[in-house]
Amino acid sequence: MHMSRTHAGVQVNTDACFNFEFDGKTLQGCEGDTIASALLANGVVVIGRGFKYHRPRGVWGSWTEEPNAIVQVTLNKRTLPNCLATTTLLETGMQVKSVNAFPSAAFDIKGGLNLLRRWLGAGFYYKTFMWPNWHLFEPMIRKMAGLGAVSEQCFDDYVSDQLHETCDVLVVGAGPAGLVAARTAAEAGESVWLVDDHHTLGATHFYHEFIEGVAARSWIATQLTAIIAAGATVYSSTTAFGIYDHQLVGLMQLQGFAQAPRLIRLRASRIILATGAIDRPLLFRNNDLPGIFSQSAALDYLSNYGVSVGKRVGLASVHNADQVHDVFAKHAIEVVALNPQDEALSAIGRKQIQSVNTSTARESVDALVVCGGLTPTIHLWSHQQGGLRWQKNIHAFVPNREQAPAGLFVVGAAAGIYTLEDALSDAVHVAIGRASTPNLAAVSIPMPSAKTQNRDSQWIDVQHDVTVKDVDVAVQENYASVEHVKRYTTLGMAVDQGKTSNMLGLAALADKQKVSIPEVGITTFRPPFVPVPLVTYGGQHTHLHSKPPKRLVLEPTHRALNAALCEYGGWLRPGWYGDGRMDEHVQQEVLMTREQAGILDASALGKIEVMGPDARNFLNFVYYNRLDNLQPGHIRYGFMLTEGGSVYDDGVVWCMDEHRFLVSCSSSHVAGVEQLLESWRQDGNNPNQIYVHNATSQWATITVTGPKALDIVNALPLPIELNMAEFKHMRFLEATYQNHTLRIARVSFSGEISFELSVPTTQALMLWNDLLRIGKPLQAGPLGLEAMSVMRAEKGYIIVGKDTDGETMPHDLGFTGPRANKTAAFVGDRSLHTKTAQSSSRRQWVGFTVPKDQPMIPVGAHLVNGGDKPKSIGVVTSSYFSPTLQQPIALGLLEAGALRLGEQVSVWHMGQQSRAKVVSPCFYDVSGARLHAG
Amino acid sequence: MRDDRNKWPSPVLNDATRGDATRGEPTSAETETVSGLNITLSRIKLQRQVWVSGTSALQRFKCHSWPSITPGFKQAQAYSVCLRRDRVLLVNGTLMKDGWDAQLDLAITEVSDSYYVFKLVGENSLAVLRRGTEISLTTPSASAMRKLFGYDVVLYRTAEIEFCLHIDRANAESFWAHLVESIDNLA
Amino acid sequence: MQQFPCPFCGERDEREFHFLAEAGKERPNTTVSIDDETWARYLYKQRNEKGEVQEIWMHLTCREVFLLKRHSVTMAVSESVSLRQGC
Ligand SMILES: [Zn+2]
Repeated sequence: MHMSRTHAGVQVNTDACFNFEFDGKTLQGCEGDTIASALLANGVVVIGRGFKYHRPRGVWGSWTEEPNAIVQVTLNKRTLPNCLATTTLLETGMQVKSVNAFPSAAFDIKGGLNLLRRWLGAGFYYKTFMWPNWHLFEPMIRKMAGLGAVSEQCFDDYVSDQLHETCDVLVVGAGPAGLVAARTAAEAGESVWLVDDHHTLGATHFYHEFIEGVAARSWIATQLTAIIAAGATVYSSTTAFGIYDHQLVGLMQLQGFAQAPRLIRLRASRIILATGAIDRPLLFRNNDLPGIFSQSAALDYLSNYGVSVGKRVGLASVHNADQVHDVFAKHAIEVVALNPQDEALSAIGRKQIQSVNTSTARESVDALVVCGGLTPTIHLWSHQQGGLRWQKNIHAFVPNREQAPAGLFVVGAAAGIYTLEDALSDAVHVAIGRASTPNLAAVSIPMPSAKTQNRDSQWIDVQHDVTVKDVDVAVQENYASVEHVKRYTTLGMAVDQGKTSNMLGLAALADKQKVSIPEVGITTFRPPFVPVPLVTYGGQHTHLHSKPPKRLVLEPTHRALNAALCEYGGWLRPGWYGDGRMDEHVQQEVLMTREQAGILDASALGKIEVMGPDARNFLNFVYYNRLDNLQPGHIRYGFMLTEGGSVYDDGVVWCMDEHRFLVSCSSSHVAGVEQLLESWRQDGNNPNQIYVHNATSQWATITVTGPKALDIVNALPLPIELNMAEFKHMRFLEATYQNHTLRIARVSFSGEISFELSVPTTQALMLWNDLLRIGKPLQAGPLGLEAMSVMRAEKGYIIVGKDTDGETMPHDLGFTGPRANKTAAFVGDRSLHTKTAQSSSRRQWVGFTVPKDQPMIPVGAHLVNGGDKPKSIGVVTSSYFSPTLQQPIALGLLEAGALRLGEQVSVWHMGQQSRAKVVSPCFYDVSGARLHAG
Repeated sequence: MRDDRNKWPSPVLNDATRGDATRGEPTSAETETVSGLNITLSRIKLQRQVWVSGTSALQRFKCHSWPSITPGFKQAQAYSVCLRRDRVLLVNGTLMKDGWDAQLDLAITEVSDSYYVFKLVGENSLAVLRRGTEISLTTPSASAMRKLFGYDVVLYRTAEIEFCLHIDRANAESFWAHLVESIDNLA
Repeated sequence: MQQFPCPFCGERDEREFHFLAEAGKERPNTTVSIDDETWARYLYKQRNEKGEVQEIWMHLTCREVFLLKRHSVTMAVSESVSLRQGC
């Protein structure tokens, strides 16, 4: 094969040529080529295979409307499937592969499916593979139907940049109407953005030799110069892929092959769509053969790439046929004029077109150029539910200006204006915000219908292999709605999303139903206009940015102590200290704490200050427990409920003084609790009497827990000495430590005597080091969250969200007092007395034990009642091997559990059943002697 | 629990000890700095930060919002930034007692250790901010609170092309990475 | 992406806002006896209107809780009023 260019196209630099590969063959392309233009220049016509029947497929279009030419491309060891050959810029050394074809596009061993197509009609997948089970067929179908192979490469650098911008006027499309609109608006002093998805601006125009009396190319250059001079922002390779609420436009800016595109979220006061129109295919027998091109594509390849689609070209066009004829003739291309309405029109050829039959003759051709009408590109208009109107003389839906979405305008061919003069003057009016009623009656374009014969070889959607016959079948099977027909036949659901096939499908449906097209209606266009990589929407929020944990001030210290860092409720915290097996470290840390003391970084605990004259009453309202009688210096454990009565959070509340309280909620719920407090504060309370300050990050908290805790804390350089007889459980005090405030709270999650020591965060390291230094000779050391979790389970303390679910109410956990006795209103109060809340079969908090030699009960296991069909009556929420008790323990929620203490229950897990004994959830220090020691 | 110590790299920003002015230590020394195309990002330290809430808070303190320039910043003098309808952030102000001030009807909480503070200087500062949210100098706002890259920040202008950002220290590490990545993306 | 006017801050995009409830739901006085029906209406019944709606939203950054009037079909926003400005 050799390069055949009729002349140098404006977009390609024929002095800069290079090699690339297609299905293993080395070819030559030029700078400025797309993969499609280069293949055509090399005479490659068959580029892929149809999705279902594997018929040979060639290039039809020259841009995003292309329904066939999907290829897989490798460059610099980066492989991307699903590249559209018509829009992907060719680069040196690209290895291009056809897809849906094995071993190559020209020779496909599955081509035999073509012979089976009588049995592969509309709804084929639905009908055939339903029985007995789709999953039996799925692997085979997937293997046959895939669009290329997914690369196993992961591009770590494939991350999209994102920007937010604003402007007065956005013009989408740099054709003549778009250029005029952008220039007019920019020169009127508005901030204007002009974007076009093509790599070269102004290259979309090839119908007219002259515009406003000037050679088209120099007219375009003049407009662009003026637009830039007027201060507009102009971008090529930038697709407006969707319009979203409040005039936000998604712009995808290409960054080169296999580079993540940039996303610009542009907020425009006015959006002017100059998106042009797309050629419709023509329905006739074998209209899917390679070598059949849309009229606009043939002109594009000729004028922009210097590539002629053939030497003897058939032309069957309902629009501008004479003009096209002239252009071809000028380039010495022989044209065979054909009547697009000819009932006998059909294409002949095996792998590509060789001749056309008409009612009068058989003409041999090497290409066929067709135009079955124009479809205005109204996708963006429709994204915002802009009204449409059927324009009879051009057989097209056009935007109805009387039903325009806020800030949205449309000009040029996209508005159905097909004469240049009318389009330009209308664009000027629209650009300066003046009303304009363009004349859409100036041009008439007929709409040839499908031929009556050979309906199973007239292709509507060439990528999904949908024929006129398939639509006929769908109608016969009573699919009436256009949306149903679309899904049943898969018409318009291929990667081009019906850019070419949509109107043909509607026409075929109308034809078969014997109604008009507007009566059939139109399917809904949704963003994006072209495929957008998902990472583009995500931007930087990927990899380690997708859900980063909060970080502790002491993290470097924990790392130095060889801590395992795990995610707990959105925080990265020490799970245990040491390498190797987690279990051994956890067991050891539990025993250390029970016998000596453990030192735990509890900085993530919530520290929300609630202040003001109404603070006390407010907290009494948002908490389940009574807080109206909490004394200064005292701490109380309590629940926050939802209005539905379920437990939302547990924590402790400190009374610092009459007008100041500290809400120490669980670390994973700080943001939620703060939001809840703030919404109740402003909705239903007097916000001028209550203030909520979330000071969680201001304070670092280190917990010292265990029998030696008192000795350790008292060894700190403090002006006071703690005395357990006075400093009772659930009290706190403030002291000074190295010139900083130190809060000491006696609360416990382990069941041992515990002190939570809080200092301003930047002083945490000093305190931590002091505690570790003091603790060392006492065999006390750092304690991770896993060991703490085991100890709280031994003690029967819950973790909200782990041991509770959205139905758990406080009385299910044994906290019945406020429900029975609290007289003041509180959040969730009434919900605790509904029929459901009073049911005797509620799931209640209990413990489980198994004999020492049996394995642990898995978390998530169900508790079931007996019988042939066991039914779940509860679930295991926590399970550990207790190093203190030297046996497995578990906790969970069980129907009427409080009444079943001592009973045996069946435990069901993954089809296996075992037995466990229901016990009280507290396994350790039941009397509380250790906790209250003093 | 899964051990993710190797999944998450050690924090870039790390200070377990803040310079203590009472002990004569430097408090505003610039520590970490990243430079890019017409932009410099650096971490700075401020002497003191306090939240003051109350119906009179905004009137009591001459309060800055977006995009007014906060002059006190340059001279390391006291200034205040408006956060909410009833809350200001007092920077470099005098020492105040935490708690409810019944005389003034104000709630006071020191938050010097809550925030990391970053400074963006240079022509491309706004281009970096626009990567994190919809923002422009022509859209004023009474509050300096924003979501930037999804994080709550206090953002205000300290000179023509200079901006100051306060972020909760727990999120500072990943927020800083967003800023650095955005600087890399400038072109 | 929608833009909402916070009564205090002004226009910000929707990522800074959080829907709280439909407007007009008054919490029943739970210190006296209320029937199930009244409580269920407060807790669960949603109008879910098509057209003009009134909702309570929170501006997450400045924590303002406000009444937002908007159109649930066109997404046009007509008004926002702080809850403490009497509504
Ligand atoms: Zn606000």
